Amino acid sequence: MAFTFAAFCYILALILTAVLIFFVIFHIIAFDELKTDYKNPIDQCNSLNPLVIPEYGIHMLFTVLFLFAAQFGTVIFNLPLMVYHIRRYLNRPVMSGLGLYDPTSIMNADELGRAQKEGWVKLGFYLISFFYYLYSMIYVLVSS
Amino acid sequence: MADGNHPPPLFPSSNLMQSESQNQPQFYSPSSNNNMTTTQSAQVKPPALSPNGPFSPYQPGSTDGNHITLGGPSVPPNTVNGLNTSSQQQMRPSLMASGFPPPPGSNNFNQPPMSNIPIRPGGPYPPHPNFTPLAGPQMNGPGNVASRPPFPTPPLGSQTPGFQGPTPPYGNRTPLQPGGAMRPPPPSLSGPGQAPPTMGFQAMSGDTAQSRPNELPVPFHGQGQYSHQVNPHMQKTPTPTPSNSEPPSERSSRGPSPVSGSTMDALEGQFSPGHGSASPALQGNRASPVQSLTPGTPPKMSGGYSSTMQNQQFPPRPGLPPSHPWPGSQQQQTQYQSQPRPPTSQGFPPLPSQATGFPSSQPRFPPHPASSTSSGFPPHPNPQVFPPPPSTSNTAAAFSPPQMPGMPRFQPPPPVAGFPLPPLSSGPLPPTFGASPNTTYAGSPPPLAGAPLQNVPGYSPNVTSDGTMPPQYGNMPPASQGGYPHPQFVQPSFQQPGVGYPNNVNAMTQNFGQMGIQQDAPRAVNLLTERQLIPADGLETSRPVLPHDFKKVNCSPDIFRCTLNAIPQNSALLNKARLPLGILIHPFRDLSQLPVIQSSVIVRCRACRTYINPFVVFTDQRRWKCNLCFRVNDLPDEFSFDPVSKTYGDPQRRPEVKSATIEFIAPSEYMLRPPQPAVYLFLLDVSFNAVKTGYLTQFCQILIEEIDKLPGDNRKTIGFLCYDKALYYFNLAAGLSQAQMLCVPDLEDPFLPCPDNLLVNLKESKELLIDLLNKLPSLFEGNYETGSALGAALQSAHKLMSPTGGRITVMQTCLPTVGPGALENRDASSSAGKNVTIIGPATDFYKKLSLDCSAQQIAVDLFMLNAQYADIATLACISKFSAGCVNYYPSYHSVKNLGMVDKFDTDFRRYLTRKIGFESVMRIRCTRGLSIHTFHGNFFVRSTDLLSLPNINPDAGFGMQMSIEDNLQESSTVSFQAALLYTSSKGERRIRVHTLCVPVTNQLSEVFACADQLAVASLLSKMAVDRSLNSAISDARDAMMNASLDALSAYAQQIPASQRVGALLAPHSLRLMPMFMLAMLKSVAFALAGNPKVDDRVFAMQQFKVMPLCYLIQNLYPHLYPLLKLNEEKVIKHGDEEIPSAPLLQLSSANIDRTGLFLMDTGDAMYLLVGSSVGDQICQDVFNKPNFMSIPDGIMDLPELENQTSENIRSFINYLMDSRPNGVVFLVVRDDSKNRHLFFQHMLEDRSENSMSYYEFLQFLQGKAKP
Repeated sequence: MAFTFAAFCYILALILTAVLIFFVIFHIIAFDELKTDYKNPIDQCNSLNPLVIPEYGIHMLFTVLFLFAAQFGTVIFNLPLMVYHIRRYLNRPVMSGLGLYDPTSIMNADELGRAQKEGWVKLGFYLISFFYYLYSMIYVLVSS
Repeated sequence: MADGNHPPPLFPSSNLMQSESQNQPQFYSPSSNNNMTTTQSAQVKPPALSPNGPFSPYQPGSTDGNHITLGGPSVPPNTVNGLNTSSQQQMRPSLMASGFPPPPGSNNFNQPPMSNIPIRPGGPYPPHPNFTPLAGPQMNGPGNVASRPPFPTPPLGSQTPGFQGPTPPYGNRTPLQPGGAMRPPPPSLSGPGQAPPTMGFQAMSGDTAQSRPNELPVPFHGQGQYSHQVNPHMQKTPTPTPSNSEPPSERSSRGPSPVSGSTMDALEGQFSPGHGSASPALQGNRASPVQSLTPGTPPKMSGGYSSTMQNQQFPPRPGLPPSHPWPGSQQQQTQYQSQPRPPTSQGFPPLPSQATGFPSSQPRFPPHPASSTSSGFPPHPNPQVFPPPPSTSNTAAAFSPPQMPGMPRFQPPPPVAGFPLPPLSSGPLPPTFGASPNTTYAGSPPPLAGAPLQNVPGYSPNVTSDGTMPPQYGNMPPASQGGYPHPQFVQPSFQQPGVGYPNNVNAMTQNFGQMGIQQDAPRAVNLLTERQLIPADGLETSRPVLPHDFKKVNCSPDIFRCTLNAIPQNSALLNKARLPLGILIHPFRDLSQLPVIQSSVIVRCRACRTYINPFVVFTDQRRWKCNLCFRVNDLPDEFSFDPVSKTYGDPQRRPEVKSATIEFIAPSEYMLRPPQPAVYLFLLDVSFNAVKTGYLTQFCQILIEEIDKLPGDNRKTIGFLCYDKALYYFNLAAGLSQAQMLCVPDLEDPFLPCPDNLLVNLKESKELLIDLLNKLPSLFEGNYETGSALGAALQSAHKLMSPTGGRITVMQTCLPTVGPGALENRDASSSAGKNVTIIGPATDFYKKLSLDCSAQQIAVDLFMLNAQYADIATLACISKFSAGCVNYYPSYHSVKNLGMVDKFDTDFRRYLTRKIGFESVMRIRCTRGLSIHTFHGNFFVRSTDLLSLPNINPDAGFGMQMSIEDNLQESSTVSFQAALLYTSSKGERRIRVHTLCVPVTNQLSEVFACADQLAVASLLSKMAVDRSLNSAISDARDAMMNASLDALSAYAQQIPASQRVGALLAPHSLRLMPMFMLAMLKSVAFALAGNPKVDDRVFAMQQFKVMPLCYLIQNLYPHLYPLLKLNEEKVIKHGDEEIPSAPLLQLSSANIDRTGLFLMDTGDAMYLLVGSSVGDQICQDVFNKPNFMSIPDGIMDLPELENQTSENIRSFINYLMDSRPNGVVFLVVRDDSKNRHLFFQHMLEDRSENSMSYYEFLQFLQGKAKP
């Protein structure tokens, strides 16, 4: 039993995933509010956009750490989402600030639906990751 | 009044005063007319005011309350009622007279909401005062307010005086005075009302109608009186008002203050929390109010609503004319019912006048005959058809006014008699009472009455169908109307003949209908063999075929239409049909007839806030079932009061239930702030490039000429800001001897050089303005500065305008290159293949600024006059999200491009003078199970069904894609309702509601049979633009081809295989879909061949998004006429003229011969092709040249020659030009000219170097379809 770099990565990932779960829940709620008329899309985009880069950054951070820790299984597990994030960001609407969401197009039913679906899928993914990291952390701690 | 609620008015009320009318200069007169006509008094209703009424909060119980509410909130309305006839006049006039700004109305409104605040509200707001007066005079308005518990009575009293004052002022009223007589009745009413008041109230509330009969007056007093009053009002408005008004207010006392409880409805949609309890309170209030009211206060208001018709540009219908004047009271009512547009308002002369007036101002509006039925038509004979007014009485009778039927509804009238006022009114009124409603009616209104009464009889019959129809069809030709309605409805949608030719069309349609269209199932058309797809007299307009019990009028297809006139029951069926489902709206279209209602009670569904409309179901006399959410709502008592007949009874007589397009004058709950004044700011590019084009001279000249016609009231405000590399402000303070120019070179941090006087009151500074406009061209004559700091100028303009909102007009001639928002020339670096990337914006600077503007209720309209690339794709964002408009005059040059100069001249004049609505929002509601998927147009989407439109103009069209989320089994029809809440240029808050009802089907064949190919093509073009922007033009092209392919394949699936062999089948209703798709593929927006200029392409795309359907279709598939075949026997009636018509040709060279003259009308341009073998006689007759060779190429005008051929051709062309809002570039093209391509590029069915012919396209589709 030893506290290896991999174990550290898992612990860190565990904590950060919890943070991501909060982000995603916020995201889901925000879009739900948009859909039900409670919020102005401009305000909503202003509150959502600043969270996009941190979310992507956090996810990328521990994915890269896993790479350094030679946890290739975990890296592969995270790779599709990372690729998706990069693609998504590259195809964002023309905007001067950071972020993905444009108040003028966000109300389109397709965009809303996609964002909502994305939120739920990510929530599921992060929940699974959370328990996977928990398991892996213990496994690494115990096995090493 | 409202003050409590409202913040202090932004603007000095003084300006407001004028309110009267003028929002739309053009319309002005019409509007007035409108008012008159519409005004009806809902008075009767009084008994149970609909609690809900206007304010959701209210409950029905409060009859008085209703009145009150009415009076209070909608004082104007009341006035209307009272005024009704005079309605608008009174209302507005009064306002005007009083000098009050339009806001008053608003104030009144406010008050109601404010309830607590005394009517005075006016006090706080300058305008208010006016209002109050108005209200007072008008009626109950104020009175109502007062009556309301919340309001202190005193105010009322005060108001009264005010009212009186106002009334007199209303010189206009003179006519009213007669009305004055009328008024008396109101008082009388009130009198009765008062005495019995309490009793009455109670009775009312409890029993509603019957118990009252005798007492009616009392119980109703509110309403009854109102009604009486209302009628009287119309006439009397002014005089009676004073006394009456106050009392009413009290009575009405929105006491219920239901309003108070309610939340604002400023966004038009919301709920107000406090509905529920209102009724009880109301009742109580009422009683008290009533009492307080005392005789004097007639509940005029209560009825509350007066409807006025607005004629906007169009001439009123025949029927209307009568109404216009006083007779008005009755007339109005009549009008009401009939809706016939009272073409003219009271003030106005009878229709004729209007008509005439209108035409001149905006002849153009009317779309083409073909394109839209709309405008062109003369007023209907509606009156006849609808005998609206009379109807009231009759109707009442006819409709079993369940409750009141026998009732002495009129009783109220008696009270009237009792009242002091009676003198005048009483005379008339009494009769009413005594006699059957009808008669009475007639009696009182005599002037008008005569006609109305007659109508009446008809009316009842008309009832549904006829009555309804007229309004909508205002456009339709008069002739048709009579019989029209029914046939149309009945008929299958597709068969409807073209709009343009009413009579013939009707006849044709009828025939079609009889042919059993429906049964036959849609006729299948083999596109490969059927070459003649377009009837010579234009395309038919499809309309939804509604079940018999909705004989009612559906919304005019020119305003509102659905791509599928039979909605699939579920999304699976929709997917099978492979057709897009969506709606197209032209919400602010200029209408010839529009019922305007001023009522204290705007009846809306408690759950979804839908406005009551012709398609709701009345489950019993007191309840209605919402057709959108299916909730059963209580009906306010007042709603069953028919102002015309002054009786309670069938709510179906109400204009709200008889017309699918209606306008309400909104109470204060619909305001977030006092209505803004009209504020116009012009941003003028004065860089070297701009000066070189010479547009400044023309701009200034036109503005000087039209400056008085800018819509607005006394508060009208204007300013100028010029820019090149620096910003030049103009201090136009009224006291200055000449305008001061202030130069601000700092672009990074633009500041306003002086705090005020950059935007100045137009009236006060008019001389300075004219002086400035005269000097402006020379001021910058030698400017060699090439930079253009548009971004900084817009930022400054935003700063300047943000306190008020308004309209910014930008004249831009080149790419903005300096300061914030500077752009690079993307065109130079891109090759043809990269067009895709440059049709999107380069930066979001303009988009963000646009959203900031939108938040401050500022719209930016863009006039692009550039010859070089100016990145319209990016600049257009400033208009796109602020609900502005974009106009593009490529290569504008005041000397070198005279065609553009003409077009700019026409467009800009129209732009300056057209109607405008400020700080508006539009909410689209649809039946449960449907949802809006995507919006198309210029606006900002604030929530899933709410569009934020800082400005709304009559040329803006919108499209919405819909999706079916649930099975639509709950009802056999679905409805769409578009509610546009806006501030008119007169400072009135108004709500224009359009409701479209479409049947649901579970048969695929029916979906196809009832598809509307024009709407489908229009919606597909909007979708294609989105696809181009999000993906690529080539994707959009594929999607277009697939769209027609999928639809045809899906249709073929249900045809027996034996019929399919070797044929490309299309339902008759969609036979032109491949043609339109091909036209889109060849259009500038989507063509890959020819490599059009990027700006042209982007502008064409932008136009697809915003153009109303009829213009869009014409743009897509231009009209081609053989000018030598003008038929003098088949004439188009245009005003007083009879214009020979030409058959419409398909765009194939096969239809062109060398010996003819052909006119290609694309909407923006007209090309007259002269065949090379044209006869010498024709050359002489038309061009005054001996032969073809001597006709100069490229002439832009036809000589005025005195011979039949020339006159026919010129009158036909002028007619076409007048029938559209925009200007046209006219060009004569010789068959051998180098400009020949201008004409022939529109021959869509021909093969060109880079594109398929129509036949090839069909073969292509057939080949694709086989597998």
